[in-house]
Amino acid sequence: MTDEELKEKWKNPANEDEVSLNEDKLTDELDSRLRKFERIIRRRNAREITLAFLLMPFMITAAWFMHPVLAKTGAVILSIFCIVVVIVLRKVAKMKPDDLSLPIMQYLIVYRQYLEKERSLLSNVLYWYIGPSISGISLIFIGFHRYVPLIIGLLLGVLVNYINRRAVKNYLTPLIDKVSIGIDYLTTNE
Amino acid sequence: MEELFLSTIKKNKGAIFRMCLAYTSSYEDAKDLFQEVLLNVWKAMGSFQNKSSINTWLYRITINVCLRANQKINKRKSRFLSADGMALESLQISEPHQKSYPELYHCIKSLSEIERSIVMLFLEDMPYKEIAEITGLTANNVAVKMTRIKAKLFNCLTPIL
Repeated sequence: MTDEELKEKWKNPANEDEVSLNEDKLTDELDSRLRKFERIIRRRNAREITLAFLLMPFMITAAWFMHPVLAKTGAVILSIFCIVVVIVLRKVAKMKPDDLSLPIMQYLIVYRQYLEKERSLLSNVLYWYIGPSISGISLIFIGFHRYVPLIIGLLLGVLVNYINRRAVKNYLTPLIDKVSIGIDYLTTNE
Repeated sequence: MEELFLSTIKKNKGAIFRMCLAYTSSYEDAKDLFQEVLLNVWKAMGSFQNKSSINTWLYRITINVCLRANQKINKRKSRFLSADGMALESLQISEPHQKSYPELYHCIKSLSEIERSIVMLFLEDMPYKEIAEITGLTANNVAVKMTRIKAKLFNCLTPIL
């Protein structure tokens, strides 16, 4: 079979008829979908930030009124933690590869950088998320001599750590490997 | 901008859909992917500069969207613009009357994702120079890779023919 025959078989003219567009409405509809998508993302971001900014004054107030020193310290740690989490999550979200018009090789490189950042974030979840949050909560409970919720909090931390590690192992690492194979293929001269 | 978008999509809708078919396992998934491509092309339309031809630009977006969609292993909910669970009313894609040479799709799908994108661009009659602009390779490198990909493809097709 020649190249031309192959191309002819590939370019099935029926495909052109199978896809029909209502040109009068298409761009309006696409606009409305884009607006809806952007609204969802804006709301999600606003929810995260609002929650963090509401929790912070709440924790500072709680620290002010709590008498045990340990509980006070725990509340202060939690208030700082709220802000750190928002900053970290926003920083990663900004790395999202948005420019799809890049050449494939460049796009894959940017995409891999984003995935690697996500992986490092999930791998270190113990230090920036679970550690500070569980320490803060634990100090509050220890300060008030409440040991049952303390144990529940610690178990929850272990569970969150396990879920994140599983996501790294089962989802992100295979995905990064897959993208790397594509980049390797494109960068070798064979 | 709207005019350029519509004329480009109208001219390339068949090619885009064929690419979507080659990156998915079902007709339904290909339809979703086609919509995802349209959404992303329309979203990027404002940033199109005449640095490259509109076709080069369009195929870059199409392939990047296809690759990205294919890599959503667990269909994780992401912050990427996707067409999950939505249908554009102004777009109709009918079931194929007659399957076009399914063996070719089968053999193309047996290639790696990147090989698939290169061979599809070749089958769409793109010159090596343009394939190089889309992939980020050099034209010489595209030629070398195409020779190997074609060998694989013919190897796969020969027992069927």
